[in-house]
Amino acid sequence: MQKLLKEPLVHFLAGAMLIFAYFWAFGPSNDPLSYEITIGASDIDRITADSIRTSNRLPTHEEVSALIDQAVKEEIYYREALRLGLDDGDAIIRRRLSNKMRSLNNSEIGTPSDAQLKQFLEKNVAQYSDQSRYAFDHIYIGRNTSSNQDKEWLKGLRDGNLNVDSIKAPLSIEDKQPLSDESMIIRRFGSSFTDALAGIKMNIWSGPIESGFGQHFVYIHERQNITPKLDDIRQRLSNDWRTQQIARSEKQIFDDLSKEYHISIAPIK
Amino acid sequence: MQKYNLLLTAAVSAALMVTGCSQDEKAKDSSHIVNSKHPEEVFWGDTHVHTDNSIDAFGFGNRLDTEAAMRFARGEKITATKGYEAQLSQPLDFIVIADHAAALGATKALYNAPRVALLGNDFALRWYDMMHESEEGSLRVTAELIDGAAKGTLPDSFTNQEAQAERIGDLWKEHGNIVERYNEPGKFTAFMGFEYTPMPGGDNLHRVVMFRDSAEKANSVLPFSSQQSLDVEDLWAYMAAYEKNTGGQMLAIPHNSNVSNGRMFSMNKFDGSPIDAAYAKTRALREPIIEATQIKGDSETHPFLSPNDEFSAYGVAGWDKANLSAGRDMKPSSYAGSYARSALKRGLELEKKVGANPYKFGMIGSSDTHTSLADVREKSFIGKHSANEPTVKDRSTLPQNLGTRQGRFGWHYLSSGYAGVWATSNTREAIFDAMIRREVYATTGPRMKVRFFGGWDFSADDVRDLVSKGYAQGVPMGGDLTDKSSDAPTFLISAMMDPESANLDRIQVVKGWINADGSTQEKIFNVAWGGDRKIGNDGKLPAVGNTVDLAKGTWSNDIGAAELMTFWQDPEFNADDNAFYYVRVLEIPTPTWPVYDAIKYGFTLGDEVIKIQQERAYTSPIWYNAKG
Repeated sequence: MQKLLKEPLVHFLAGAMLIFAYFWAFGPSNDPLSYEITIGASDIDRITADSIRTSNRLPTHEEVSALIDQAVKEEIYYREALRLGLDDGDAIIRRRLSNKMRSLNNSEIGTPSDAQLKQFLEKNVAQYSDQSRYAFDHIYIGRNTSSNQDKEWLKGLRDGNLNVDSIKAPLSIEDKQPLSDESMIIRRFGSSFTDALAGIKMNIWSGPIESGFGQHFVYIHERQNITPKLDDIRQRLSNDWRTQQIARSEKQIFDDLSKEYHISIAPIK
Repeated sequence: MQKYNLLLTAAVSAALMVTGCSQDEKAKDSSHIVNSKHPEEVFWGDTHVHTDNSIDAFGFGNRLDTEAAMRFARGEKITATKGYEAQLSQPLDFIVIADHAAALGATKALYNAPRVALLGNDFALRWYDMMHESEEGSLRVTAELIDGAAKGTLPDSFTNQEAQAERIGDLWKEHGNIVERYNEPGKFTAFMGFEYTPMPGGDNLHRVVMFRDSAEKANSVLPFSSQQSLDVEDLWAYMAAYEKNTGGQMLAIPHNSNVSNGRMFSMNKFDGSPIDAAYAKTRALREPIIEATQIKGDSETHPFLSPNDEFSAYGVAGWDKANLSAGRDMKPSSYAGSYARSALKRGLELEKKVGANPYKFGMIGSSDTHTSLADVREKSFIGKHSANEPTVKDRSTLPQNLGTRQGRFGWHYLSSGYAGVWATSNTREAIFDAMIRREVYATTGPRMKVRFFGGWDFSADDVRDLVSKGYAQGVPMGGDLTDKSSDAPTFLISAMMDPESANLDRIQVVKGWINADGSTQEKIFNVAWGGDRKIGNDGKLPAVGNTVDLAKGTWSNDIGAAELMTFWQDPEFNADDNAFYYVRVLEIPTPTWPVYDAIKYGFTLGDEVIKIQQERAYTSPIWYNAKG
């Protein structure tokens, strides 16, 4: 008997019995190896309280929802890690394991081929053709103009019987803007003016349009939608392709894992 | 103890094994970019962005890397670490990621290390557990780090450069790959760079260091760290050796002289001996520009130094009482070594004394953000670091201390600054060269366009053709007035508002000079202004007025002017006195960032909080030297 008490195996079994007894007594309320995840009302309260502690205000509904998704993700990765035996019983290890599982997912991304980039561009063409080019004339008339006078001047401009110099206010930006990308026009006139160009008819005086400087009459000669060419944006495409690949592979792996789980979440108050 | 440190280092290095991304994409050259004859465009950038590779940025919670910083600067929408959706309305043209060379990547590596590898190292283990326990724990670790760095009490594994060489080498190479991938000559320029952070006793002697060259060339050296030397002359020697060995080029940008306790622009060298000609020449060569404004306050001047300047208090509150770590109080007698304007004057003094001017610098602004996100508009201020991002309701009134001692609050931090660079193209070479010739200026955020030319025979008529006359008959900001050919220097100056910001109040010329007796003086001339105002008997121009509506966070551009331009001749010129002239442009009053936070979350700011400010630009000076 004495000898038996010194046997490591016996110690191990005794320990196991204790753990078993614990779960038997208190119930397997949070068995880390089950595929059941329940985010209950008390969990949501805790998540909300954590958020308040760091931001000193009530989180919005969307923020709570995002935090819950994050908690679910963390739980899934955590359990998967446990299944792989990565734990050593340390309380702090939990978040670490989840992160670790995540980084294991980050498989190496190589350099995309031209064919891959072309395909990527075709699929996401809208993302790269959101810019237009414009060529236009503008007449800056300052800030404090009256709408009646504006109308009169616009009519005069359209009829061609107004002396342009008589209405111009000084501003050292060229009256003629040659065909330019939107990014260049934003640099000169700011973004609200540039956005407004999209809604203006071509080949006729319009306005006044407001920029940060004040009011402008505008005459658009040319408007081009930029069709992105692979050679012009190769680098940007390549960067974006890599980012997408990483995100996609992470999502794929996570989706495969989460498929195994049945997740129920209480409504957010 | 030594053994444990090595163990920690090994663990940290192992954890940082980066995926084998080869230098597959060759450095793209900029030979196809056409340079304009003279700079036609001002390019906007931030030379001072920290990512999660900076030891403190990671500790403060930043989880955004170099790639996120690049994407944001280039104009893409990026979610800040704490969830705020951030995007610039206008992209930046260039960026320098300037992570701290000291213990580069150390907190990230520690955080990601397997805990078992740290067993036995109680010091590292404690920080490790604190960081993983909670955000507050991570913040405490960071405060201890800054304190430890100031006091020199950090363990070897954080301070011994050799022990960290493997980790830093891998990280620096990986960083280079990303920088190279995002550098697009003609469209967006990404520079290699790092920050050198000597901080003896918490006195800030920090420099951003940037390369003109490809990542491949920059990767031939490791970032030079304050752990190798606290004496900036050793940094300059490192720069010289790099240039000699590679044919490349580097420059260093001092910043936050405001918390240097008078040591950034000292009359003495680091060892306390007086500055001599060799030191002065080397410093002027290595440090052609300084960062005069950023989130941690403004360093142009101080009311104590410039009592007749009614705009000298900008960005001073909270930063003039104690040094960076708040470990030492700073006396007003130290200020002359802490602010740019007085340093320019000291430069004239030293030139007279030793024959060379160490403080012949141009000025830029940059953010020093530790969130990876370079946005310094008041309305969308992302914060100094990730623990005070916009999702924190009362970040403007909470204590925000970098060390462990109290004293600064959120609102003391400025949403400032950017660098404006008059370059001939948007390439590494053109932008770097413009910095070397100091054709650059600082702004506190708004992208106002400022031109400044000096010459001997400009006339009032030349204003109509300011740029071509300026280059043909004079020198731009940063230049020297030589070959005196008239009674007094003449200047052509223009400033155009940022169309996404506010009207301009006025243009001022700030003059500093040295008298025959060796004493220096400064004077401010109002040279152009908006609205119907007249200079009073006291020589001052009346204030432009104030249209700010604090409840709405708005202002009206009915006061001030969209554009100001003028010809000016120095009315008090003495040909025997060396002098400098720089331009300061002031916007009309607008709300500060805490006002927008208060509106967003519906709370009231205390009386002590500065709610209205006049944003501004400082150009590099033009110097006059009596000897020609």
